Amino acid sequence: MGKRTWNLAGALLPAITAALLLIAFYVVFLEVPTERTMGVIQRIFYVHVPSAWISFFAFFVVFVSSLAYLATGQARWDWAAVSAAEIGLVYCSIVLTTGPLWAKPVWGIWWTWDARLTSTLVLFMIYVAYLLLRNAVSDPSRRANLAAAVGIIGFLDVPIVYMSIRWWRTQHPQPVIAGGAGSGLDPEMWRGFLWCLAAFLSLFAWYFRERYRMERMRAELESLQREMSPRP
Amino acid sequence: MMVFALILIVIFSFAFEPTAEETRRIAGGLLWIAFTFAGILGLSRSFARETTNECLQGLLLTPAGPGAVYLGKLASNVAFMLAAEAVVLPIFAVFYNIGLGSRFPWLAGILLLGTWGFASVSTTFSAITANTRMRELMLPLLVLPISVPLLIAMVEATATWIAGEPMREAYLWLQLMTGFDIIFTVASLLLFPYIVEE
Amino acid sequence: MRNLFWAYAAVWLIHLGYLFRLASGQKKLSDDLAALKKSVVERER
Repeated sequence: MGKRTWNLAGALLPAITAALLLIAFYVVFLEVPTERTMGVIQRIFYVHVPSAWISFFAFFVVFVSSLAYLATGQARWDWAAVSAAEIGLVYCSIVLTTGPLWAKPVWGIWWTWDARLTSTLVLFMIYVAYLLLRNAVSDPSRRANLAAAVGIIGFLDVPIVYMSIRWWRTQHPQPVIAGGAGSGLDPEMWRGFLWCLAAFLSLFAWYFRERYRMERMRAELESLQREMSPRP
Repeated sequence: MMVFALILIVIFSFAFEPTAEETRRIAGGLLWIAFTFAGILGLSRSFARETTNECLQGLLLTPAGPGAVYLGKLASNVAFMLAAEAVVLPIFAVFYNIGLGSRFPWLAGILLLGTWGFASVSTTFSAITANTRMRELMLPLLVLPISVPLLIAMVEATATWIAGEPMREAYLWLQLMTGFDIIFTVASLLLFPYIVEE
Repeated sequence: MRNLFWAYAAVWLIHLGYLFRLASGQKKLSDDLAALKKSVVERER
Protein backbone atom coordinates (compact mmCIF):
# COMPACT_ATOMS: atom_id res chain seq x y z
CA MET A 1 0.00 0.00 0.00
CA GLY A 2 1.57 3.25 -1.07
CA LYS A 3 2.32 6.01 1.37
CA ARG A 4 -0.35 8.27 -0.09
CA THR A 5 -3.08 5.65 0.18
CA TRP A 6 -2.00 4.94 3.72
CA ASN A 7 -2.21 8.58 4.72
CA LEU A 8 -5.49 8.99 2.88
CA ALA A 9 -6.90 6.04 4.75
CA GLY A 10 -5.80 7.56 8.01
CA ALA A 11 -7.89 10.63 7.32
CA LEU A 12 -10.86 9.00 5.62
CA LEU A 13 -11.44 5.98 7.83
CA PRO A 14 -12.50 7.87 10.96
CA ALA A 15 -14.85 9.98 8.88
CA ILE A 16 -16.41 7.02 7.09
CA THR A 17 -16.69 5.13 10.36
CA ALA A 18 -18.39 8.01 12.11
CA ALA A 19 -20.85 8.39 9.25
CA LEU A 20 -21.66 4.69 9.16
CA LEU A 21 -22.09 4.57 12.91
CA LEU A 22 -24.52 7.45 12.81
CA ILE A 23 -26.55 5.84 10.04
CA ALA A 24 -26.53 2.50 11.82
CA PHE A 25 -27.62 4.07 15.08
CA TYR A 26 -30.44 5.87 13.33
CA VAL A 27 -31.61 2.76 11.50
CA VAL A 28 -31.40 0.55 14.58
CA PHE A 29 -33.21 2.85 16.91
CA LEU A 30 -35.62 4.73 14.76
CA GLU A 31 -36.48 2.62 11.75
CA VAL A 32 -36.37 -1.00 12.79
CA PRO A 33 -39.55 -2.27 14.48
CA THR A 34 -39.45 -3.50 18.06
CA GLU A 35 -39.25 -7.27 18.32
CA ARG A 36 -42.49 -8.90 19.38
CA THR A 37 -41.50 -11.34 22.11
CA MET A 38 -38.44 -9.77 23.66
CA GLY A 39 -39.27 -6.13 23.31
CA VAL A 40 -36.79 -3.30 23.31
CA ILE A 41 -33.97 -5.38 24.79
CA GLN A 42 -33.67 -7.22 21.50
CA ARG A 43 -31.92 -4.17 20.07
CA ILE A 44 -28.79 -5.43 21.77
CA PHE A 45 -28.77 -7.99 18.97
CA TYR A 46 -27.64 -5.28 16.55
CA VAL A 47 -24.42 -4.75 18.45
CA HIS A 48 -23.96 -8.28 19.83
CA VAL A 49 -24.06 -10.35 16.66
CA PRO A 50 -22.15 -8.05 14.24
CA SER A 51 -19.41 -7.73 16.87
CA ALA A 52 -19.19 -11.53 17.01
CA TRP A 53 -18.83 -11.69 13.24
CA ILE A 54 -16.12 -8.99 13.24
CA SER A 55 -14.17 -10.68 16.03
CA PHE A 56 -14.26 -13.93 14.11
CA PHE A 57 -13.08 -12.09 11.01
CA ALA A 58 -10.28 -10.52 13.05
CA PHE A 59 -9.07 -13.91 14.23
CA PHE A 60 -9.15 -15.09 10.64
CA VAL A 61 -6.88 -12.16 9.78
CA VAL A 62 -4.56 -13.32 12.59
CA PHE A 63 -4.53 -16.78 11.00
CA VAL A 64 -3.72 -15.54 7.51
CA SER A 65 -1.10 -13.08 8.78
CA SER A 66 0.54 -15.81 10.85
CA LEU A 67 0.74 -18.09 7.82
CA ALA A 68 2.12 -15.25 5.71
CA TYR A 69 4.70 -14.44 8.35
CA LEU A 70 5.97 -18.02 8.51
CA ALA A 71 6.02 -18.20 4.74
CA THR A 72 7.74 -14.89 4.03
CA GLY A 73 9.53 -13.97 7.24
CA GLN A 74 8.47 -10.34 6.76
CA ALA A 75 7.87 -8.52 10.02
CA ARG A 76 4.87 -6.59 8.71
CA TRP A 77 2.79 -9.77 8.77
CA ASP A 78 3.61 -10.11 12.44
CA TRP A 79 2.49 -6.51 12.98
CA ALA A 80 -0.75 -7.34 11.18
CA ALA A 81 -1.27 -10.44 13.33
CA VAL A 82 -0.90 -8.71 16.67
CA SER A 83 -3.08 -5.81 15.55
CA ALA A 84 -5.87 -8.10 14.40
CA ALA A 85 -5.63 -10.18 17.58
CA GLU A 86 -6.00 -7.18 19.83
CA ILE A 87 -8.93 -5.75 17.90
CA GLY A 88 -10.53 -9.19 17.79
CA LEU A 89 -10.36 -9.26 21.58
CA VAL A 90 -12.01 -5.85 21.78
CA TYR A 91 -14.97 -7.10 19.76
CA CYS A 92 -14.97 -10.35 21.72
CA SER A 93 -15.28 -8.36 24.95
CA ILE A 94 -18.29 -6.62 23.49
CA VAL A 95 -19.93 -9.94 22.66
CA LEU A 96 -19.24 -11.27 26.16
CA THR A 97 -20.55 -8.12 27.85
CA THR A 98 -23.68 -7.64 25.78
CA GLY A 99 -24.55 -11.34 25.88
CA PRO A 100 -25.26 -11.58 29.62
CA LEU A 101 -26.88 -8.14 29.64
CA TRP A 102 -29.28 -9.49 27.03
CA ALA A 103 -29.73 -12.86 28.69
CA LYS A 104 -30.68 -11.61 32.15
CA PRO A 105 -33.96 -9.86 31.31
CA VAL A 106 -34.91 -12.47 28.71
CA TRP A 107 -33.97 -15.70 30.50
CA GLY A 108 -33.55 -14.57 34.07
CA ILE A 109 -29.94 -15.77 34.25
CA TRP A 110 -26.70 -14.02 33.34
CA TRP A 111 -24.98 -16.94 31.66
CA THR A 112 -26.72 -19.71 29.81
CA TRP A 113 -23.82 -21.78 28.42
CA ASP A 114 -25.26 -21.06 25.01
CA ALA A 115 -23.07 -22.67 22.35
CA ARG A 116 -22.13 -19.47 20.57
CA LEU A 117 -21.47 -17.45 23.70
CA THR A 118 -19.44 -20.22 25.31
CA SER A 119 -17.39 -20.66 22.14
CA THR A 120 -16.72 -16.93 22.18
CA LEU A 121 -15.51 -17.25 25.75
CA VAL A 122 -13.07 -20.01 24.82
CA LEU A 123 -11.94 -17.95 21.83
CA PHE A 124 -11.39 -15.01 24.15
CA MET A 125 -9.19 -17.14 26.38
CA ILE A 126 -7.15 -18.46 23.46
CA TYR A 127 -6.34 -15.01 22.13
CA VAL A 128 -5.68 -13.52 25.54
CA ALA A 129 -3.11 -16.30 25.93
CA TYR A 130 -1.78 -15.33 22.49
CA LEU A 131 -1.18 -11.75 23.64
CA LEU A 132 0.26 -12.85 26.98
CA LEU A 133 2.68 -15.14 25.18
CA ARG A 134 3.86 -12.26 23.01
CA ASN A 135 4.52 -10.24 26.13
CA ALA A 136 6.56 -13.06 27.60
CA VAL A 137 9.07 -13.24 24.75
CA SER A 138 11.63 -10.47 24.30
CA ASP A 139 13.38 -11.41 21.09
CA PRO A 140 11.26 -10.05 18.21
CA SER A 141 11.82 -12.80 15.68
CA ARG A 142 11.29 -15.61 18.19
CA ARG A 143 8.21 -13.80 19.42
CA ALA A 144 6.86 -13.57 15.90
CA ASN A 145 7.54 -17.25 15.21
CA LEU A 146 5.92 -18.49 18.40
CA ALA A 147 2.99 -16.14 18.07
CA ALA A 148 2.44 -17.27 14.49
CA ALA A 149 2.33 -20.90 15.62
CA VAL A 150 -0.27 -20.07 18.27
CA GLY A 151 -2.20 -17.89 15.84
CA ILE A 152 -2.46 -20.78 13.41
CA ILE A 153 -3.24 -23.49 15.96
CA GLY A 154 -5.75 -21.26 17.72
CA PHE A 155 -7.73 -20.55 14.60
CA LEU A 156 -7.69 -24.18 13.45
CA ASP A 157 -9.21 -24.98 16.81
CA VAL A 158 -12.06 -22.49 16.47
CA PRO A 159 -14.47 -24.59 14.40
CA ILE A 160 -13.68 -27.64 16.50
CA VAL A 161 -14.39 -25.71 19.70
CA TYR A 162 -17.67 -24.48 18.29
CA MET A 163 -18.82 -27.91 17.12
CA SER A 164 -17.86 -29.63 20.35
CA ILE A 165 -19.69 -27.09 22.51
CA ARG A 166 -22.70 -27.24 20.21
CA TRP A 167 -22.92 -31.02 20.43
CA TRP A 168 -22.40 -30.79 24.17
CA ARG A 169 -25.30 -28.37 24.36
CA THR A 170 -27.61 -30.63 22.38
CA GLN A 171 -26.97 -33.31 25.02
CA HIS A 172 -27.71 -30.86 27.83
CA PRO A 173 -30.00 -28.22 26.36
CA GLN A 174 -30.19 -24.72 27.73
CA PRO A 175 -31.64 -21.47 26.42
CA VAL A 176 -30.12 -19.96 23.30
CA ILE A 177 -29.14 -16.32 23.28
CA ALA A 178 -30.07 -15.37 19.75
CA GLY A 179 -32.28 -17.15 17.30
CA GLY A 180 -29.42 -17.33 14.83
CA ALA A 181 -28.51 -14.60 12.41
CA GLY A 182 -30.62 -16.13 9.69
CA SER A 183 -33.51 -17.61 11.57
CA GLY A 184 -36.54 -15.71 10.41
CA LEU A 185 -35.08 -12.27 10.50
CA ASP A 186 -37.40 -9.52 9.37
CA PRO A 187 -36.05 -7.72 6.27
CA GLU A 188 -36.24 -4.50 8.28
CA MET A 189 -34.04 -6.09 10.91
CA TRP A 190 -31.60 -7.26 8.25
CA ARG A 191 -31.14 -3.61 7.25
CA GLY A 192 -30.26 -2.63 10.79
CA PHE A 193 -27.96 -5.61 11.12
CA LEU A 194 -26.15 -4.90 7.86
CA TRP A 195 -25.65 -1.22 8.61
CA CYS A 196 -24.17 -2.15 11.99
CA LEU A 197 -21.95 -4.75 10.36
CA ALA A 198 -20.71 -2.18 7.84
CA ALA A 199 -20.04 0.36 10.59
CA PHE A 200 -18.14 -2.14 12.73
CA LEU A 201 -16.13 -3.32 9.74
CA SER A 202 -15.13 0.25 8.99
CA LEU A 203 -14.23 0.69 12.66
CA PHE A 204 -12.14 -2.46 12.45
CA ALA A 205 -10.28 -1.07 9.44
CA TRP A 206 -9.58 2.18 11.26
CA TYR A 207 -8.44 0.41 14.44
CA PHE A 208 -6.29 -1.89 12.35
CA ARG A 209 -4.52 0.92 10.55
CA GLU A 210 -3.76 2.70 13.80
CA ARG A 211 -2.67 -0.41 15.69
CA TYR A 212 -0.48 -1.53 12.78
CA ARG A 213 1.13 1.90 12.71
CA MET A 214 1.75 1.60 16.44
CA GLU A 215 3.40 -1.78 16.00
CA ARG A 216 5.56 -0.49 13.17
CA MET A 217 6.75 2.35 15.42
CA ARG A 218 7.47 -0.10 18.21
CA ALA A 219 9.53 -2.26 15.83
CA GLU A 220 11.47 0.81 14.74
CA LEU A 221 12.06 1.77 18.35
CA GLU A 222 13.21 -1.72 19.28
CA SER A 223 15.66 -1.95 16.41
CA LEU A 224 17.09 1.53 17.14
CA GLN A 225 17.54 0.57 20.78
CA ARG A 226 19.33 -2.59 19.82
CA GLU A 227 21.63 -0.65 17.48
CA MET A 228 22.47 1.80 20.22
CA SER A 229 23.19 -0.60 23.05
CA PRO A 230 26.51 -2.38 22.68
CA ARG A 231 26.14 -6.13 22.15
CA PRO A 232 27.55 -8.25 25.02
CA MET B 1 2.39 -36.80 38.44
CA MET B 2 0.57 -40.00 39.43
CA VAL B 3 0.57 -38.85 43.01
CA PHE B 4 -0.90 -35.52 42.07
CA ALA B 5 -3.73 -37.18 40.15
CA LEU B 6 -4.42 -39.43 43.13
CA ILE B 7 -4.45 -36.49 45.53
CA LEU B 8 -6.92 -34.71 43.30
CA ILE B 9 -9.20 -37.75 43.21
CA VAL B 10 -9.12 -38.04 46.98
CA ILE B 11 -9.96 -34.36 47.35
CA PHE B 12 -12.81 -34.77 44.90
CA SER B 13 -14.13 -37.55 47.14
CA PHE B 14 -14.37 -35.05 49.95
CA ALA B 15 -16.01 -32.48 47.73
CA PHE B 16 -18.39 -34.91 46.03
CA GLU B 17 -19.81 -37.89 47.89
CA PRO B 18 -18.43 -40.87 45.90
CA THR B 19 -21.33 -43.17 46.58
CA ALA B 20 -24.04 -40.79 45.52
CA GLU B 21 -25.79 -41.30 42.22
CA GLU B 22 -24.98 -37.81 40.95
CA THR B 23 -21.29 -38.37 41.48
CA ARG B 24 -21.37 -41.39 39.21
CA ARG B 25 -22.60 -39.05 36.51
CA ILE B 26 -19.77 -36.58 37.00
CA ALA B 27 -17.18 -39.29 37.74
CA GLY B 28 -15.96 -39.15 34.15
CA GLY B 29 -15.36 -35.43 34.45
CA LEU B 30 -13.53 -35.81 37.75
CA LEU B 31 -11.24 -38.44 36.31
CA TRP B 32 -10.32 -36.28 33.36
CA ILE B 33 -9.78 -33.18 35.48
CA ALA B 34 -7.33 -35.21 37.53
CA PHE B 35 -5.52 -36.50 34.44
CA THR B 36 -5.51 -33.12 32.73
CA PHE B 37 -4.01 -31.16 35.58
CA ALA B 38 -1.55 -33.87 36.47
CA GLY B 39 -0.69 -34.14 32.78
CA ILE B 40 0.06 -30.46 32.43
CA LEU B 41 2.28 -30.52 35.48
CA GLY B 42 4.15 -33.55 34.26
CA LEU B 43 4.48 -32.44 30.66
CA SER B 44 5.60 -28.92 31.43
CA ARG B 45 8.90 -30.45 32.39
CA SER B 46 9.05 -32.06 28.96
CA PHE B 47 10.82 -29.26 27.16
CA ALA B 48 12.06 -27.46 30.21
CA ARG B 49 14.54 -30.25 30.70
CA GLU B 50 15.88 -29.74 27.20
CA THR B 51 16.78 -26.12 27.74
CA THR B 52 19.63 -26.98 30.09
CA ASN B 53 22.90 -27.67 28.30
CA GLU B 54 21.27 -26.79 24.98
CA CYS B 55 19.98 -30.34 24.63
CA LEU B 56 17.34 -29.23 22.21
CA GLN B 57 19.82 -27.82 19.71
CA GLY B 58 21.76 -31.04 19.97
CA LEU B 59 18.64 -33.08 19.32
CA LEU B 60 17.79 -31.00 16.32
CA LEU B 61 21.11 -31.83 14.68
CA THR B 62 19.97 -35.39 14.05
CA PRO B 63 19.40 -36.11 10.37
CA ALA B 64 15.82 -37.12 11.10
CA GLY B 65 14.86 -33.47 11.39
CA PRO B 66 12.70 -31.50 13.82
CA GLY B 67 9.56 -33.46 12.97
CA ALA B 68 11.11 -36.60 14.33
CA VAL B 69 12.08 -34.77 17.52
CA TYR B 70 8.46 -33.74 17.95
CA LEU B 71 7.11 -37.23 17.36
CA GLY B 72 9.68 -38.70 19.69
CA LYS B 73 8.74 -36.25 22.42
CA LEU B 74 5.08 -36.87 21.76
CA ALA B 75 5.42 -40.63 21.93
CA SER B 76 7.34 -40.49 25.18
CA ASN B 77 4.82 -38.05 26.67
CA VAL B 78 1.92 -40.29 25.65
CA ALA B 79 3.65 -43.30 27.20
CA PHE B 80 4.33 -41.32 30.35
CA MET B 81 0.70 -40.23 30.69
CA LEU B 82 -0.67 -43.68 29.88
CA ALA B 83 1.54 -45.23 32.52
CA ALA B 84 0.23 -42.79 35.12
CA GLU B 85 -3.35 -43.43 34.00
CA ALA B 86 -2.83 -47.16 34.26
CA VAL B 87 -2.02 -46.76 37.93
CA VAL B 88 -4.61 -44.14 38.78
CA LEU B 89 -7.52 -45.75 36.96
CA PRO B 90 -7.90 -48.88 39.13
CA ILE B 91 -7.71 -46.78 42.28
CA PHE B 92 -10.33 -44.45 40.87
CA ALA B 93 -12.52 -47.45 40.06
CA VAL B 94 -12.23 -48.64 43.65
CA PHE B 95 -13.11 -45.27 45.16
CA TYR B 96 -16.03 -44.61 42.83
CA ASN B 97 -17.25 -48.20 42.58
CA ILE B 98 -16.93 -48.47 38.85
CA GLY B 99 -16.48 -51.89 37.34
CA LEU B 100 -13.57 -51.85 34.91
CA GLY B 101 -14.05 -55.33 33.54
CA SER B 102 -17.01 -54.93 31.24
CA ARG B 103 -16.32 -53.14 27.94
CA PHE B 104 -12.84 -52.19 29.03
CA PRO B 105 -11.52 -51.96 25.44
CA TRP B 106 -13.84 -48.98 24.89
CA LEU B 107 -12.42 -47.18 27.90
CA ALA B 108 -8.92 -48.00 26.74
CA GLY B 109 -9.77 -46.52 23.35
CA ILE B 110 -11.13 -43.33 24.90
CA LEU B 111 -8.06 -43.06 27.10
CA LEU B 112 -5.70 -43.57 24.21
CA LEU B 113 -7.39 -41.02 21.94
CA GLY B 114 -7.72 -38.48 24.70
CA THR B 115 -4.20 -38.89 25.97
CA TRP B 116 -2.72 -38.63 22.48
CA GLY B 117 -4.63 -35.44 21.75
CA PHE B 118 -3.80 -33.86 25.06
CA ALA B 119 -0.14 -34.83 24.82
CA SER B 120 0.13 -33.52 21.28
CA VAL B 121 -1.18 -30.09 22.29
CA SER B 122 0.88 -30.04 25.49
CA THR B 123 4.09 -31.12 23.77
CA THR B 124 3.74 -28.38 21.18
CA PHE B 125 2.95 -25.67 23.70
CA SER B 126 5.66 -26.95 26.00
CA ALA B 127 8.12 -26.31 23.19
CA ILE B 128 6.58 -22.90 22.56
CA THR B 129 6.74 -21.80 26.18
CA ALA B 130 10.09 -23.44 26.94
CA ASN B 131 12.12 -20.26 26.91
CA THR B 132 9.49 -17.72 27.84
CA ARG B 133 8.89 -15.80 31.03
CA MET B 134 6.26 -17.23 33.37
CA ARG B 135 6.61 -20.55 31.62
CA GLU B 136 4.68 -22.54 34.25
CA LEU B 137 1.71 -20.23 33.93
CA MET B 138 1.74 -19.86 30.15
CA LEU B 139 1.51 -23.58 29.49
CA PRO B 140 -1.88 -24.28 31.09
CA LEU B 141 -3.12 -20.89 29.90
CA LEU B 142 -2.50 -21.97 26.32
CA VAL B 143 -3.24 -25.68 26.53
CA LEU B 144 -6.56 -25.66 28.37
CA PRO B 145 -8.64 -23.39 26.10
CA ILE B 146 -7.27 -25.11 22.99
CA SER B 147 -8.07 -28.52 24.50
CA VAL B 148 -11.69 -27.67 25.33
CA PRO B 149 -13.13 -29.82 22.52
CA LEU B 150 -10.97 -32.72 23.61
CA LEU B 151 -11.99 -32.34 27.24
CA ILE B 152 -15.68 -32.17 26.39
CA ALA B 153 -15.39 -35.25 24.17
CA MET B 154 -13.44 -37.25 26.74
CA VAL B 155 -15.83 -36.46 29.55
CA GLU B 156 -18.94 -37.17 27.50
CA ALA B 157 -17.59 -40.43 26.11
CA THR B 158 -16.44 -41.57 29.55
CA ALA B 159 -19.80 -40.64 31.04
CA THR B 160 -21.56 -42.75 28.43
CA TRP B 161 -19.24 -45.63 29.26
CA ILE B 162 -19.71 -45.32 33.03
CA ALA B 163 -23.48 -45.10 32.70
CA GLY B 164 -23.46 -48.38 30.81
CA GLU B 165 -25.14 -46.87 27.79
CA PRO B 166 -24.36 -48.29 24.35
CA MET B 167 -21.10 -46.85 23.03
CA ARG B 168 -22.84 -46.17 19.74
CA GLU B 169 -24.11 -42.98 21.37
CA ALA B 170 -20.56 -41.82 21.95
CA TYR B 171 -19.45 -42.27 18.32
CA LEU B 172 -19.70 -38.54 17.75
CA TRP B 173 -17.24 -37.87 20.56
CA LEU B 174 -14.87 -40.60 19.47
CA GLN B 175 -14.85 -39.16 15.96
CA LEU B 176 -14.23 -35.71 17.36
CA MET B 177 -11.28 -36.95 19.38
CA THR B 178 -9.82 -38.78 16.39
CA GLY B 179 -10.22 -35.71 14.20
CA PHE B 180 -8.72 -33.49 16.86
CA ASP B 181 -5.75 -35.82 17.27
CA ILE B 182 -5.06 -35.96 13.55
CA ILE B 183 -5.43 -32.23 12.96
CA PHE B 184 -3.26 -31.22 15.89
CA THR B 185 -0.55 -33.76 15.36
CA VAL B 186 -0.22 -32.79 11.70
CA ALA B 187 -0.35 -29.06 12.44
CA SER B 188 2.23 -29.46 15.19
CA LEU B 189 4.52 -31.43 12.90
CA LEU B 190 4.32 -28.71 10.28
CA LEU B 191 4.81 -25.88 12.76
CA PHE B 192 7.49 -27.51 14.90
CA PRO B 193 10.48 -26.39 12.77
CA TYR B 194 9.38 -22.78 13.20
CA ILE B 195 8.85 -23.21 16.92
CA VAL B 196 12.36 -24.44 17.62
CA GLU B 197 14.07 -22.15 15.09
CA GLU B 198 16.82 -20.06 16.60
CA MET C 1 -35.12 -0.87 29.30
CA ARG C 2 -32.25 -0.48 31.70
CA ASN C 3 -30.11 -3.34 30.44
CA LEU C 4 -30.28 -1.93 26.94
CA PHE C 5 -28.81 1.29 28.25
CA TRP C 6 -26.07 -0.55 30.13
CA ALA C 7 -25.27 -2.65 27.09
CA TYR C 8 -24.80 0.33 24.82
CA ALA C 9 -22.94 2.17 27.56
CA ALA C 10 -20.57 -0.78 27.94
CA VAL C 11 -20.02 -0.88 24.18
CA TRP C 12 -19.18 2.81 24.09
CA LEU C 13 -16.85 2.48 27.06
CA ILE C 14 -14.97 -0.43 25.55
CA HIS C 15 -14.52 1.28 22.20
CA LEU C 16 -13.57 4.63 23.68
CA GLY C 17 -11.16 2.84 25.99
CA TYR C 18 -9.49 1.15 23.06
CA LEU C 19 -9.30 4.37 21.07
CA PHE C 20 -7.64 5.97 24.06
CA ARG C 21 -5.18 3.08 24.28
CA LEU C 22 -4.32 3.50 20.60
CA ALA C 23 -3.88 7.23 20.89
CA SER C 24 -1.75 7.18 24.04
CA GLY C 25 0.24 4.21 22.76
CA GLN C 26 1.09 6.01 19.56
CA LYS C 27 1.96 9.20 21.38
CA LYS C 28 4.31 7.43 23.77
CA LEU C 29 6.02 5.55 20.97
CA SER C 30 6.52 8.62 18.83
CA ASP C 31 7.86 10.53 21.85
CA ASP C 32 10.26 7.69 22.65
CA LEU C 33 11.37 7.50 19.03
CA ALA C 34 11.95 11.23 18.85
CA ALA C 35 13.95 11.17 22.08
CA LEU C 36 16.01 8.22 20.90
CA LYS C 37 16.74 9.78 17.51
CA LYS C 38 17.72 12.99 19.22
CA SER C 39 20.17 11.17 21.47
CA VAL C 40 21.63 9.42 18.42
CA VAL C 41 22.27 12.81 16.84
CA GLU C 42 23.78 14.11 20.09
CA ARG C 43 25.99 11.09 20.35
CA GLU C 44 27.33 11.53 16.85
CA ARG C 45 28.27 15.09 17.55
